[in-house]
Amino acid sequence: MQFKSLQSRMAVIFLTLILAIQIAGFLAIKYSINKNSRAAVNEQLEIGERVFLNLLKQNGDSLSQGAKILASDYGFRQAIASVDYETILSALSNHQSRIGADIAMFESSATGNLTISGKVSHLEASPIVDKLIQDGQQNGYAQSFAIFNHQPYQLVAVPVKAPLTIGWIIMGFQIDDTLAQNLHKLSNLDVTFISRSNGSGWSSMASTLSMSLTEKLLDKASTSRLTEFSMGNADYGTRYVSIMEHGDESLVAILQRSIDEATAPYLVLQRNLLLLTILGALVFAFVIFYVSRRISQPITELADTARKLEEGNFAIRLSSTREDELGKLSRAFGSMVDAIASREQSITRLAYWDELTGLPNRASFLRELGIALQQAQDQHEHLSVLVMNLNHFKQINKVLGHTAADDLLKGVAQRLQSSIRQESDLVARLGGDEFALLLPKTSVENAMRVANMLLQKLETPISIADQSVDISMGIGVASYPQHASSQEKLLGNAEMAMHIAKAKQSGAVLFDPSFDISSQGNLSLASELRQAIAGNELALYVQPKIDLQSGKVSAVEALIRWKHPQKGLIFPDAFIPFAEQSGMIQLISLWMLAEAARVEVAWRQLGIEAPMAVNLSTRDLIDQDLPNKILALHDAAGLALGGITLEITESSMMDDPQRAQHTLERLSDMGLPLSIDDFGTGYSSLAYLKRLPVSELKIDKSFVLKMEEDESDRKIVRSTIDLGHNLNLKVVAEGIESRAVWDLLASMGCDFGQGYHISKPMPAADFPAWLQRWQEPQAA
Amino acid sequence: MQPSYSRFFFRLLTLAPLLFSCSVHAAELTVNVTDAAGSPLPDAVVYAEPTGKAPVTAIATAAIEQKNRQFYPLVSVIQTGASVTFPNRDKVKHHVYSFSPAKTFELKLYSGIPSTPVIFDKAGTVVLGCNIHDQMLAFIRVVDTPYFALSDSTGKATISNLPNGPYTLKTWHYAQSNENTVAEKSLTIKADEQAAVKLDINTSALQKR
Repeated sequence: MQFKSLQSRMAVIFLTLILAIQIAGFLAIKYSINKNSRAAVNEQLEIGERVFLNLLKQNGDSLSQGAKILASDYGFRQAIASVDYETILSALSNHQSRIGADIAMFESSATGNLTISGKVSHLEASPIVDKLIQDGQQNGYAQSFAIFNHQPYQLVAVPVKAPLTIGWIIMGFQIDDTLAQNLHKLSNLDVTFISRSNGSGWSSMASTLSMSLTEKLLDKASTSRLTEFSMGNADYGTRYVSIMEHGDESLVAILQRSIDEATAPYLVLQRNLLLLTILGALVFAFVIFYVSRRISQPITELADTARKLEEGNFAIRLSSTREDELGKLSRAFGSMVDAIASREQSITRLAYWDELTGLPNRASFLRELGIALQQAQDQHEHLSVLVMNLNHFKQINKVLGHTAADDLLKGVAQRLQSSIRQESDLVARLGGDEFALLLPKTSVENAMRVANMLLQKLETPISIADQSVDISMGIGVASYPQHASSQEKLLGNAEMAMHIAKAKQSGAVLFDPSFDISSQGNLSLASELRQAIAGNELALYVQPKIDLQSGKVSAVEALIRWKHPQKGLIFPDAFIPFAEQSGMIQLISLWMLAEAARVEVAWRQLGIEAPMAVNLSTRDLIDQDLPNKILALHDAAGLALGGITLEITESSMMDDPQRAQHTLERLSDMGLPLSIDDFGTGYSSLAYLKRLPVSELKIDKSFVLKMEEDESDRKIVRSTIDLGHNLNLKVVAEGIESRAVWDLLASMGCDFGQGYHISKPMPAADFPAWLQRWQEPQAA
Repeated sequence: MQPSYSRFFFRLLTLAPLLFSCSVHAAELTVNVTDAAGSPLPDAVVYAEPTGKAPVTAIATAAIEQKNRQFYPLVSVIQTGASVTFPNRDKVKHHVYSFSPAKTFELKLYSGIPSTPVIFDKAGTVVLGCNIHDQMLAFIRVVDTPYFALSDSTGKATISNLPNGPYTLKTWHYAQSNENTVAEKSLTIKADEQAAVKLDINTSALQKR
């Protein structure tokens, strides 16, 4: 059986037990009552037999008393002496009626004459009388039973003395219903006399039973002598008392006691007992129910509490005043709830709060973003997310150490926190050096404004351990509903924008669907780009690089353009960041290298000596197989090493400086000249720079463009040139847009230069013609 | 033996010489009565009836007392025609009766000596009883001869003054199965004679007093 609850299980088990005990007890008592009542019936029958025999004896005695009185009657004796049989007969019948006997007889000793008063013939009486007298002569008195005319009689014989015996008086009582009733009164037994004589069957002459029952009894008694049997819906205990048995004459008294009657008083007891049993079972059931409820209720409460706990509801108070085990359990449970609550609190803190900065963490931010997003959706409001990543944090970490880096993060966190406009804005640390800002009810324009404001705020250096650290960050901005409608997507988009911002070093960047390589537009861009690489839609452009002192073209920088069949010429800004993100940059780089090699070989055949500088991306530098690939390209094109040089931006090396250095060393060992592009914008340390196997520095055009007007830029350029020279490197200036700058740079000792003033980038095929036209200016 | 019994005996014996003094040749017959086992049988009535001739009449009286609710003696023998008195020596009254065919009579409740004695005029056995005391019993053997005697405790009965001649010797005892059964024996008296009679009686049938 399956029980849903402890309570019902306990109730059922105990109830079953008590019922089993009660039933067993009841059955045992029933059995015992049955047995005892039968034993009692047997005992009653035994007593009844004694009573019966005694009654018979008393009957006999009273009969003989009566006979004796007659025997001693003088007149009677006189009548005998006178041999006056008429008188004798009348005296007999007189006396017979006086004592209520059914038969009175006299046999004279002298003559042997038998005088009979009663319904019995001489023929029947003589032998019995003779036998009686014979018995009587020995004892002076005799008792016997006889059956006359199928009717049993109890007989007595007493002598008539005068004073010697002159005859015998025989008196007889019929054994009839009266005797049976007497016995019934005395012993409370049913009595039935049955007899047979002269070969006839058994017949019943007297009974306290009804006629029909007597008939049944006769049926049973004549075939067997069962001590117990049923008659007329009742069981009778039965005892057979053989009164007379000689020859074919028998007289049996059957004593019976109804077992049901004997059991009746016990049945009352049994019924009371049954009532008690039922009452007891009910009381017990109630008690069991109560007790099991008392036991199971606290358990049920605990289970409910546990369920609430599961739902995260810790506002539960378990107060049990019980002193028993359940009370202890309840209290233990209560303290467990408290412990779990406090543990959950700290877990929640750990889960949703950043330990270092005390800001909410990514999970917390996502949760809050979800809520805010829902609200924005409901209220049809705007919402913006800013994701910020510190620039060059790895280097800062490396240079300043972890503790200082942590302090820096804390400082940034504080600054961000103090910069937010209102309470509803949420600053969080997403991890590492990445932070996020949730701006509810903020449109794209306002978000960009906030982003720029933040950038401005961060321009102030942060002091850590008495040092002032300059920091900058890339900020990606994404807004609802323009950019995404789910919190993950929105955050992801903002992160994407942030990466772009970092890659382009352009401060704050608003998300654009084109950033998303997984977006539909970008998926088609990817396939188009792939098509472009395979279908030769890419074009190699070159920008000459001249010796600033001599004005001679010394080399060219390879640049890429995409001749899109529909969109026309696409500049690298539009697809290189995407290619970098998607990894296609490596294919593009290889295409560039292969194309550069092919062009260079062609130029060599034309007699043009202009090594071509190809830009490598961060991903290219991480590729350990890059040197082999480049070697293979040279071989394939039939180009001698040195025809192609490689340019690496400062920041591309910083992502994995060790690996980058390793790759660069291998390339340098192979004999490929290397130059550092965009120098001055990164954070590479001089120590690192010193170790790099480069032969050239390219000063970022941002310094060169304004150096005419900006004194500090000029100083930076000058010192960079000096630094390069001191490190034994050639220095190249980018972004020369005027002759004045050329001259200035040349005066500063800058080795090479490139820029619009010299030439815009041109298709590679145009270069030989341009070179023909190029007039080296007069040396300054 | 009770004193009164011996006295009665003595009286009979002392009476005999007076009665038969005329007879010249008188003898004495001693009879030893034994029971079936050969033991001496007391209270047997022994009497001799002369063969052929009528016996000599010698009337005599007898008395049967009632004392301590008993008849004394148990057995009496008298000649036909003799009268018997029934003196009551007890304080209680007695009702003496007999239903015997030899003599049926009753003496209704009385004390002392009834005024008229009962005359037994018919030979035979008379059984006496008392109507109010069932245990009282006595026998009278009425005989037609004056020659009779009762056996004593040694079973010996002596008939004296018995003239010579042939006799039928009869012996009666109350304990015999029939009250009128008599053992008979013929003998001739010439001188003193001895005779033995054996009766088919068990000692257990004897009245115990």
